[in-house]
Amino acid sequence: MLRRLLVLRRLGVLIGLVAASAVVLGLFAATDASAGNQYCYMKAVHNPDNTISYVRVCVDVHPGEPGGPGDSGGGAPSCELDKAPTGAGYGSFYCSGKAVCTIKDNWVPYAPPAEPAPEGHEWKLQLCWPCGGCLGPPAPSFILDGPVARPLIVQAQEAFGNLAPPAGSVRHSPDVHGIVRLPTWLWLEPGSFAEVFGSSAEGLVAVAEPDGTVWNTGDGGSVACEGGGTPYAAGAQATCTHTYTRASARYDGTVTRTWRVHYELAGNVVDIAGAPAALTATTGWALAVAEAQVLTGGR
Amino acid sequence: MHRRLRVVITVAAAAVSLAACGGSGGDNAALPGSPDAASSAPAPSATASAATSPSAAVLSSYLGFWDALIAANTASDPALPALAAAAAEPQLGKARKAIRVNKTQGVSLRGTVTHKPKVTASSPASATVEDCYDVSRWTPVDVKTGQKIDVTEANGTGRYRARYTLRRSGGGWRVTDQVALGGC
Repeated sequence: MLRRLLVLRRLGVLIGLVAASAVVLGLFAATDASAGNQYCYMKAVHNPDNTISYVRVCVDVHPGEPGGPGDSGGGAPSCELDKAPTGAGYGSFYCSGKAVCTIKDNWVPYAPPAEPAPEGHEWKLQLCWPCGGCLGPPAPSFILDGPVARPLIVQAQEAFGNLAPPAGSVRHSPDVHGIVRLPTWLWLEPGSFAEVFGSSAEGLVAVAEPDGTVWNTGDGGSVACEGGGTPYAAGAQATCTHTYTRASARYDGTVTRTWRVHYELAGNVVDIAGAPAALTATTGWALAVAEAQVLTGGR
Repeated sequence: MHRRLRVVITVAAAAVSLAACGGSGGDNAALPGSPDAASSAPAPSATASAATSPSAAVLSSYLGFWDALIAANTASDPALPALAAAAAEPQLGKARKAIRVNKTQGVSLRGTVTHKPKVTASSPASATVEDCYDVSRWTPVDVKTGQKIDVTEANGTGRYRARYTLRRSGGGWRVTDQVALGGC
C-alpha cells in the first residue's frame, strides 16, 4: 500500500511538472487537498459459521498516510463516489468495486429474503449503480449486515482490563505466631482466589482461573504453591507451608496470586494472539515467629 | 478428491500427534487437503490397512462430510444429495442454512479447507472428532462475476478448533453436530 501511495505521489509530481512546467509548491498543496477526504466501502467478513456478512469500513484519506485496512483501502476510493446519484431517500454511498452503492432501509417493492438472518446480523437492501456516473437503474441485492466489532485483540485488552481481582486475604496456621522449625501453613481465603471475569463492550469475556501462588515469607524464603494453599484442619494435607528457622517479632511477607486467563465469546473459547494470558496480584502480610519453648512458657 | 482423502487418512493414521491442535504453525504446510500436500505426498500405500481401523473410517467419513460441504457451497446448492448423505440433523440444517444465506447474497465459498483431525472418542454407535481446520483459503466468490471477494476472517486467522459428533449410519458415519472450541 505504501508503494502504491509513493507511486501516486510520484504521479502527482509528474502531473505537476507537465501541467505547470515548473515546481510550484501550491500545486502540491492542491493535489494533497483533493486526496484528503473520507470514503467508505463494504468489507466482507467470513464468519465462523461460514456465512459471509459485510461491515462498512470508512477510511480517512490523508496525504502521505496509508488509506486503511484491506486492498480496496488504497490512496483513493475504487469507484467514482463523487458521481453518486443525488436525491432524497438514499443513505450515504460507498464503493463495491467500481460500483457506487448505498443501503436502503425501505425494501418496497423488493421481497425480503426467505432465509432468516443469523443471530446478530440483519438483511439490508443494497442498491448499486454499476458505473457511478452512468446512473441507469440500480441493481438491488440483499446483503447480510454484520456487527461492527472491534478487533479481538482490542476487545481482549479491554476485557482483561476489566478483570478486578478481590483483595487477597491471607491466613496461616499457627494463627497468631509461627513457630520456629515447625511448618507454618499458608493459604488464601478461598473467596480471595477464585475465578474472575471481565468483559469487553461487545461481550468478549476474559476468564481468569486461579493458577498458583508465590509466597515471599519475609525471611528471604520463597514458596511456590499450586492454587492458594489448603486451609488448616485436623487431618488435612498441607499444600503450602514454610518452615521458619529464626524467631522474629515480625516477618513482612507478600503473596502473589497468578491466574491463567483465556477468552470466551458466547461460551466458546477464542484464541487471541498477543492477548494477555496471565493476571497477577500481590498482597502484603505479616507474621511473628516465636521459639517453641517461649510460646509454651507464655501459656 | 479420492486421492486427497486417501492421503488424509494416511497422514492421520501415521502421525496422530500431528492432529493435535495448536501445534507449530509449520505443520500447516503439509496439511492434508491443500493441493500442495496432495501433489507432493508419497503414494498412499498404507490405505488398505488404515481403512480397516475404526478411527480411519470415522476420519474418512468426517473428511467426506467436508468434501460434500465444499461441493455444496461451490454449487450454492443446500440440497446437494452428497451433503444429506454425509450429515444429519442438526448439523445438516446448520450447513444448509449457511449455504442459503450466502446464496441469497450471490456469494459462493470456493477453495480448500485444511484439517488436523483427531478421533477423540468412538463407540460402535457414535464418535467424536476434534479438528483444527483452516478456512482461510475457502474464499467467497461473487457468483455473477466469478470474482473473488476480498474477505476478512472473523477471528483473524480462519483457523477454528471444533468438536464434531458423528453417528453410525449404514456402513459409514454421518456428522450430526459441531461444538466450536475457539481458535487454534
